[in-house]
Amino acid sequence: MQSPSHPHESHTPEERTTVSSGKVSWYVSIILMATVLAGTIMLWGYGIWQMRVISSLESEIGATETKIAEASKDRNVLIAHIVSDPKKVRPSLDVADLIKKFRDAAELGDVRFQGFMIRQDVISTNLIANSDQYGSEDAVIKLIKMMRDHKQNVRVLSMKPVEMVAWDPKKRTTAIELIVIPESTIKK
Amino acid sequence: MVSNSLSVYTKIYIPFVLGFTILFTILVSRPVFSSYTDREAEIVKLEKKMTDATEEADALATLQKQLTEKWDTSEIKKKVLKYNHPYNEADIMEMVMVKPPQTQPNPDSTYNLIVKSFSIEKGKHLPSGLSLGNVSVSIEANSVDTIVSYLTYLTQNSPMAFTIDQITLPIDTRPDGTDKTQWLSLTLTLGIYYFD
Repeated sequence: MQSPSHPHESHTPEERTTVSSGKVSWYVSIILMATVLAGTIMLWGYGIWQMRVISSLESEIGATETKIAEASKDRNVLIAHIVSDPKKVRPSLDVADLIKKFRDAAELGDVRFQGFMIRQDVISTNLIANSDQYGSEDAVIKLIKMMRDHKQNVRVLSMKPVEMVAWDPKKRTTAIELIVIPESTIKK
Repeated sequence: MVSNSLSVYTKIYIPFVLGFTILFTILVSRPVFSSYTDREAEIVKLEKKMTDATEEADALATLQKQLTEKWDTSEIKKKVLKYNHPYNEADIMEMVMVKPPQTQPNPDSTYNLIVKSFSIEKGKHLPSGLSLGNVSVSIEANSVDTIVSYLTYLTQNSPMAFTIDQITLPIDTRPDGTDKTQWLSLTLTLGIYYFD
């Protein structure tokens, strides 16, 4: 006996397929709508929380800026704060000490520094190396040694890449540029 | 019977549900998501601003405490006083032309260094809060060493904060018969920090 509560049993296979795909489409569309609704509600709720966070951050920033403004009324404190940041003030060069170091380096490396230009914390000079009296090795070796030594012992000046060397093996010359490193960023 | 009811679902309700979902997504979900991303970006920006402000406030509080407790003995006092002065042409002129020992006359009324000309301009206000003026001087000196000691006085020992903008010194570490007693003349461009 067939029960009316089991209608599938009275359908052909084609009809059963139609019924099944209709149900799937229905559930998929319902799930899709529910997901979109739920996601939107969650985002909306999260948005309310975000607004509270923003409001709280803004008031905290306002309070901190008031503190900064209060402390900045003392000019000495403000200036001390500015000058303690190497990015905010340019380094003051000790020229005498610098030139002494150049002279010492020239003597040590058996080379000659000629000309000395300072422009916006960049020092430019010419480096001249002569080979020994027998000319047994290219004078450029002295320049290479100086460049390597400098790179390994950078303290106050950072050397820009040397792009050109001229003259002949007995006498080599090159122009170098050295950038002054702010005191507080020097690696000890 | 069932077949009929399902065809009703498929023909009427499913397109309606899908259409509603699409419309809802376009009209509601998308603006909500857009606001969410905007607010997220704003939170990140505010958190960065808060961190910076807190660091600055802490640094100022620490400095304020240090300076209050030991202003007279602190190393930073000398440095701060170099910057804590207003723009005053007379003071700067005196500091460049009169105060340096190299510009003082010798007992026989000769000079080791003479400032031939002096010009100054107020320069610009920097984002840090300080201002940087420009000073240009032409000098004549009896040797490179005198010029170097003059520069050292200005940049290291003077009570104002000078920086060297531009100078060319005829230094040669192995001079070939150069006359060391020859007078030199050159132009020097300096920066001067002040606080208005």
